[in-house]
Amino acid sequence: MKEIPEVIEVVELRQSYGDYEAVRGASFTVRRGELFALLGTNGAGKTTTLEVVEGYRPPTAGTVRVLGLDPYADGPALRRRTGVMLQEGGFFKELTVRETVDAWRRFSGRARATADVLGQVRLDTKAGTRVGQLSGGERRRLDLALAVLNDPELLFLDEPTTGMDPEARRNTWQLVRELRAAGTTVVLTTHYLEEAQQLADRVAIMDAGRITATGTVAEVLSGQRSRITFPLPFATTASDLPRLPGADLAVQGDAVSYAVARTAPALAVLHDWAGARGVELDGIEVRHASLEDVFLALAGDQRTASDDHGTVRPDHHSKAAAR
Amino acid sequence: MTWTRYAHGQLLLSWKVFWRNRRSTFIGFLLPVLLDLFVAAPLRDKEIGGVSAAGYVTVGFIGLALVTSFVNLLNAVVARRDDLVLKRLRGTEVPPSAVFAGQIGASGIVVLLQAVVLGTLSVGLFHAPLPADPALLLLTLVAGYLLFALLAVALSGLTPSAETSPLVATPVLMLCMFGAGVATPLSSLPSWLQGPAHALPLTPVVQALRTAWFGKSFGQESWNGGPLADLSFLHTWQSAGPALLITALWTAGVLLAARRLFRWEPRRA
Repeated sequence: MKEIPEVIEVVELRQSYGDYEAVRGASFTVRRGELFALLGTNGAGKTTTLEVVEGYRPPTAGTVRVLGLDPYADGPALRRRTGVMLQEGGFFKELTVRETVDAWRRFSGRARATADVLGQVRLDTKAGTRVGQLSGGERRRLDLALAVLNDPELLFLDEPTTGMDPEARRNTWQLVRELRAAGTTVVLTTHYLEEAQQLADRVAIMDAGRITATGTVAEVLSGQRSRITFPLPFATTASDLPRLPGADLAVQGDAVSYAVARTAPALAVLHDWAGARGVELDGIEVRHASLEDVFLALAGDQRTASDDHGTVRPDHHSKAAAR
Repeated sequence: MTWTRYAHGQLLLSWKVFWRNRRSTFIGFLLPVLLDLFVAAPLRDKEIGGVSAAGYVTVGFIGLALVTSFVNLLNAVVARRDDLVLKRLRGTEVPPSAVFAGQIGASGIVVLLQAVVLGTLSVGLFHAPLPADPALLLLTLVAGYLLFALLAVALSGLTPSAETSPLVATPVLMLCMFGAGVATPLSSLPSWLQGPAHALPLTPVVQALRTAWFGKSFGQESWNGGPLADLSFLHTWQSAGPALLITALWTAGVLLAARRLFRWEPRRA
């Protein structure tokens, strides 16, 4: 079989429910072997987009190709090669963890051994537990176990770590990294920006049904300014603070935050200022821009832009009414 | 070949879950057997149409087992749709037809088991004869089961949630229990009810089951009527023919409805 570099190709995807348009012309590609993260707020259209790509419904408009196939029309053929971890999917509560995996193994042409998969998601100690007795995080891990059961080429993870405690989250990240290292292409949605920053080769940021930014994490972060933050020093007021070259200053309570294009000249000025006044800069932090900064900036822009056009952003209420 | 493997996997899964869930074991397996014991036992010394009345009623309850399996399937389909189990199944490589085949097959085996239990009761306890035409009996049972299984799939689409499924299932169960000639011949209903009773989907199934079991032309029998004549092999099929045809028409209509109404996922609120 010819290996096509684009594992997923989405062109001008639109998806409507009644009058409500959840996805409004999204285009992106995912390349073989990469980890692609789709980011956005709740209601941005991430899950809808993912479910079209997974083949749960046909697109209202636009084209979607996954591994060269039409995911809706060629569902069973495609799913032999993909693994899907839904944001929310049910289990038979009557069955134990092991029985659930055993049952699902019969649904796969090339299933891995139950013990292997349960060990991989660290549920081996829970194998004999009824699914109804599992915690939320454990259910997510069972979800993950079923998604990787057929050793997929392409793995979809819809908010995989929601409901997990920090340790389980780290473990899941480690597992996702291992899968990727073994050549699995992974498409992930998340609203934990740290998760995307930790794992993703490339990200796309979705807002109100559109993709507002896309690229590697570095590309999306480029042009974003670094942050210098410290608590307001003793006996100093906001008006005493210096102006730093190319920086914007924000003071909230006694938290001082500078957004700077270049850190060295800014820190030099700050250093001189502190020396001259004889104040300490205890608790100073300098950090690179994070996806969260980009995300908040983009979402903010979008909101302002739509306000300018007099349109109202679809909220949860109008979505419910449209269905 | 893989299709069979998928359907077999789904069948094993549905089978295991069926017996592990007390509600489905009770409604889907025990209920018709227990009801039959209550209704048929007092009729042990009576006859109808020349056959043991208790045996006659017990064969009627084999028909009712189709309806309890319908109730159980409806509950199962709606609950699994609402719990997003169906959505998860759809995310696997199993084709939808194999999902249906496995689920319907597992319930079908339960119905066969019930038919064996009820048939044993009928012969052993109520002195009914062995089935006169086992092939026709099995065909009727399978055809009737298919009709009610598809009815469950179709009506699941009209059932908003697991909590409301009794509102859909109970009327069907009650109508079939009292209106389809399960425990008493249709002739004992008031005359104005006989038309609607003949229109129920279970009525022709029960009639054909009795014709096949006893080898007599059931349909017009009554408590005070005389014994029915024995039918030859060919005449048994001929006598059951119209009932089977009506069952087939019902099945075709219900299949169309199922294709239109069935949903994999709950409506989102």
